[in-house]
Amino acid sequence: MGVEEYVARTLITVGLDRAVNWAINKARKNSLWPIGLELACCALEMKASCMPPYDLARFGAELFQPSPRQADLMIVAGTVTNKMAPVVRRIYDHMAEPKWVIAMGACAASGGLFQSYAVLQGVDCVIPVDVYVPGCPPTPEALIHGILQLQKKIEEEHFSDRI
Amino acid sequence: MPVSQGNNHPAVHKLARTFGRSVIEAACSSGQTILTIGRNDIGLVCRFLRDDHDLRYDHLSDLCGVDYQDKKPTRFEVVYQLYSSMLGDRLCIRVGVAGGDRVPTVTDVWPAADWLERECWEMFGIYFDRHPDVRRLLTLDEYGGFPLRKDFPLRGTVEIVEVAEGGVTWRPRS
Amino acid sequence: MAAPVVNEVKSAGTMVLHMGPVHPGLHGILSLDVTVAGEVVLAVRPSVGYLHRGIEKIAENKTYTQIIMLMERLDFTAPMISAFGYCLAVEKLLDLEVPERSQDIRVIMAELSRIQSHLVWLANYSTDLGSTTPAMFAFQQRERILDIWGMVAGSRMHPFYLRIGGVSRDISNEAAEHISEFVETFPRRIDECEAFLTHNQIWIGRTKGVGAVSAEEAIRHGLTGPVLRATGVAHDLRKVHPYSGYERYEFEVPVRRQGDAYDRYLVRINEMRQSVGLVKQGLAALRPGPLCADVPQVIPPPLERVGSDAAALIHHFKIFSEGFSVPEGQAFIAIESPRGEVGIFLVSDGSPRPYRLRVKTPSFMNLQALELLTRGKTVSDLIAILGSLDISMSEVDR
Repeated sequence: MGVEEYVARTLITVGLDRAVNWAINKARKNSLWPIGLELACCALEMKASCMPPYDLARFGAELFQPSPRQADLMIVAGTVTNKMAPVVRRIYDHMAEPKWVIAMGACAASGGLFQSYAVLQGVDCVIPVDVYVPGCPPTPEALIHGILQLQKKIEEEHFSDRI
Repeated sequence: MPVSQGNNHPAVHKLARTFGRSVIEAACSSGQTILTIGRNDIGLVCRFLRDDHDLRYDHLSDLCGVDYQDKKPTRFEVVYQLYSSMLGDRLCIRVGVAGGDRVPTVTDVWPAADWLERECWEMFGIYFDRHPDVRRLLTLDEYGGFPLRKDFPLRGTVEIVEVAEGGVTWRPRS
Repeated sequence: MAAPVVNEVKSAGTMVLHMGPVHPGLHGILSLDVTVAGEVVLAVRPSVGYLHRGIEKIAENKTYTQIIMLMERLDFTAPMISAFGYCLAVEKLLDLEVPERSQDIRVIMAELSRIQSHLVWLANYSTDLGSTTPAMFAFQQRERILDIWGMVAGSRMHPFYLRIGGVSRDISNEAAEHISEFVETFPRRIDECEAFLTHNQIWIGRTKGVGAVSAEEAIRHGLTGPVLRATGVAHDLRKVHPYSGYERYEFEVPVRRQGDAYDRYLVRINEMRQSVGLVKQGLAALRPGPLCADVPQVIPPPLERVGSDAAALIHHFKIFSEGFSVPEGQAFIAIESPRGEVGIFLVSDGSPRPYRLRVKTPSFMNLQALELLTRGKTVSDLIAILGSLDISMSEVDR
């Protein structure tokens, strides 16, 4: 049991959990460290969003983690094929809670342009998605908007939902 | 100097002299000579084209399959795109393949043919004799067929239902 | 760069090191099973197909114009180049002549694509080998090219700008000024990137003598592009078999001799410089003229005529509802993409959809040769060699 669960149980009864919730959500939303699944074209726009002039780091996404164990946010950037689906699932399972998923681009959201025998019609067939960012590819501004929307979503959650 | 195309292509006479009836047809399409060669001799023909002093087709640019269904005498064709840096000429060779026929590999002539022949097998089911490693390259066995054949549906025959710890669950596509 | 140590091979056991398909050093989704003895690579077995989307099958069900969108996504690091080759193949079957203004615009866009692709390669490669600042510089310059495409075509990354018979819209004066400004300042930016790398002892140590291949082996294995030119073979399709007006342009083909990773790096840096010259010549060559040939069965008539002319209305309707038919036949076109020779083989049965579209991509051929280049090298050399081949997995898997 993590410290969050302990705190949740104690503080709910004391009634301070709103303040603690606010603090924890603030911490979570302002330090979302992504693991970018660089699958296809959207990966280039995702990389561009870390570089000048967009700079994703100023929104807290400081470091793209190579390891899922150390990441909070999975950005599925590109087409998920049937061959890749179990790999995406495994990487998602390896991420520790709390974790969120952004489906970036038309392909990750719904298969996009590729309605064929080889393509999974949306990454939400294998993992739960929090934010869908449409576009083919979405511009870096669109991805940043998606991350800001996710931050708003995190603000409205209760920290014990993701423990 | 541009090379003559069609029946006057320099490779036509040399191949006809050496391989006789294996050279089935010489045609020209969009400015490129297309030779139809007998399936069994394709390995020897390619080696000849590569090694001949006047031809020197040293590059294998492409190797792919086409499914003609019943539009041609044989269902499939394997198409080779060769290039000679000495002549500056591109030559197209095609080989008719009926379902179940095997085609000699050209990996001993150009190692570049390795993955190209593997992909041709997995997309059309055309088997290459003495190829070192006939295995699926891009597709999965679960797709249950050869995707680029004309009778294979675009959306495929199966879809993923669930991916879990134990593996992937598939179901037939409705 | 260390030579393989024979004693290490004999005394250490072998192990299979599994890299990928998601790995920070492998750009794109590629899985490698690397058999190692200690640090020395004995064998490399790539597993590909994680991005296989069935583009060739999808193309058999799309009209010729719709396929341009597919082709752009086939090689997303140089989107206009694959579309360029495809348009040339269809135009060959249609026996369609593209007006000179469109030819020059296509050359400008293709060379900007080449610069953009090499910038992405430089960013990834320098990051792989530990130098992250050139990546920032490269991506910043890439943004300028994407801004130009946004101005010209409306979309940053997949512009859908080329059409069968020409291009979709003209370059405005504002866009031409931006392109001109870009080519004036870009050579200094290449100099800045080179200042970080070219004479840097760490860079030289990681790339010189690493992954060398001879010209004969390269040709036998179907290697093309900068990988082949680094071995001393001056084979560039823009020079050897010019297309789309390249015969009117003056440029050099950068060639090196050693065939190692360092030479491939230098070839690409110099290609960027040559592309700048080509863009300048393209801008200077632009003359007023039509953008597309006047073939109403294939090229949609201008919208002003569609409203007033019945024949134009019928052509417009047919082109956008059913698509235009291409005469029966086959064509093979090869063009020079940033990674090497892209071969488009198109078979038409006379209908509005291609019977067979086959795309041979340079990354597919280059990746096959990975084991040839890395056998006997160390695992860190494997990363340096793989990066120097400039593999785009979307090209390999299609």
